[in-house]
Amino acid sequence: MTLPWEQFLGGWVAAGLTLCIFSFLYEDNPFYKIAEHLYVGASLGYLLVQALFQTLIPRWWEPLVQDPHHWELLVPAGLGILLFCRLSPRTAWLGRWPIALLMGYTAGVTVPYLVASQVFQQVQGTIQPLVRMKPEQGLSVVDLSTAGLWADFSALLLLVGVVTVLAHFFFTVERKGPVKAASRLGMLFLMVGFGASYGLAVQGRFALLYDRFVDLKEFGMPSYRHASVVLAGLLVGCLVVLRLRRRA
Amino acid sequence: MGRRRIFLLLALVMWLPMVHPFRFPGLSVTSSVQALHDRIENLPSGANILVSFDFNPGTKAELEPQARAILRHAFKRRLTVLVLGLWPDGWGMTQRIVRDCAATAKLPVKEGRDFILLGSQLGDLNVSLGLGQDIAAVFPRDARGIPLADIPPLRHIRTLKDMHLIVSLGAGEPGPVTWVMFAGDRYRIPMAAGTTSGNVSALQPYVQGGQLLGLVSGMKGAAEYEMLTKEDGSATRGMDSLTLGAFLLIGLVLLANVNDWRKGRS
Repeated sequence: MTLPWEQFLGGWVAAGLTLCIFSFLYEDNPFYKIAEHLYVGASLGYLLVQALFQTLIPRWWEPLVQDPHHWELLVPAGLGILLFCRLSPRTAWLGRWPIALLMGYTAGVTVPYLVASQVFQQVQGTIQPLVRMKPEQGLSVVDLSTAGLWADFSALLLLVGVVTVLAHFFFTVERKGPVKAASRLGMLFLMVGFGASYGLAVQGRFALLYDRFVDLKEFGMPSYRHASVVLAGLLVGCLVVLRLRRRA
Repeated sequence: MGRRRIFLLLALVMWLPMVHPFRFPGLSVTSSVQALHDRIENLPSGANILVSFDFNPGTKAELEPQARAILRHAFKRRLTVLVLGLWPDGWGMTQRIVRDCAATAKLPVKEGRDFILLGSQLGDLNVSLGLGQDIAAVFPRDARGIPLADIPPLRHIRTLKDMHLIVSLGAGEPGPVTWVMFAGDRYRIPMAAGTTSGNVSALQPYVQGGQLLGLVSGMKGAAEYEMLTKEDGSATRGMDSLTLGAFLLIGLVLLANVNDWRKGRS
């Protein structure tokens, strides 16, 4: 099957850049540097273009041009331009106004929701009832099933974990007796938490690696004229030449 | 063992199942993935769900399989899917994923009828809050440039309150937490999320607090979802490589510790 030329070219570019990035695992080299700089530049450029065509033009420019009565749109534009005043030390003070407005607005809008979502709701989630009823069998029947008991154990473990981890960060109380024991238990919970987070992060990195391998395998197919294989060969050849030249 | 040898070994171990897949047994479905699947399964045909793609190509390895599994399920259940993104640099990828899922769906799926690509906007909390008041004010036209008023399903969908479920697939902020705070909690709309493995621990408290009814975690979560929908997707195929990679890493950590212990004794 013949691929559209842009897909074919895209496959060669993607395979080449992936291999250039992987070459860092061997040693730092100019091919890695090229790919790294291209990545940073292309990401930023793409983000800028998307922001321009998805937000700035349809949400600001078009309404302003189509209906001149939308004069209020000039206010955010003016404030946005003031941000650039920070580039010069003499006019930097003008940049404080839009920043102050942004901070005030964001804090005002966010704080009530933040407290409700991240404090009240989660404290409520931490304190689970240990006695669970079975509503389908009448409100007086206590759930003593394995699942119910397991849920009770989880609820207790969560409560102990939260309390002891908080105790670990009580620096104003002398660490002796029960506070010391709670603090040590809290540290154990923290260690388990860090270990689990690290394990999950590694799993995520493996997924990224697998995704690159899948793409390299696809670009190594005859439809792409074996782009991955050809480019890997070229890259290895170039790295060998570079190394030989450095030794000479 | 030198680090180059470890990299080479890891590459070989992860490449092997791609050539000879052998499917590790024992993948079980976690309750939070099951909950999301059950919610979508039990929604009536024609119900509205919003899927927010809050990631860019940097994390597509984990979030694309999740998105595909959820979209395929929603299309199969004949739900009306509204798609948007809070990360503008992921919008091109989002359109490709959604249209590809629609093109390969078992039932005929049509843009503008079964799914609507709203677009991508900067301004995280303003987008969520604005959608709660008027969707057409935030996204006046869809990705094809058609005014929302001319798209039949959107004549009945005015605000977020008309949604039966919001699913945010996110790798950070703005993402699931933004949606929980400014949409789920505010308007009492059922919410679920999909996230990367590294971000799961940050979202787990929201499941515990009942703010997220379901949470899909990384490629493993996507594989679990594929298992529930009985589809052989990219996440299921990737689990062999991930499992072997994890085994290799555990083996190397153990080996290094034993070696250290022996050196200490001698």
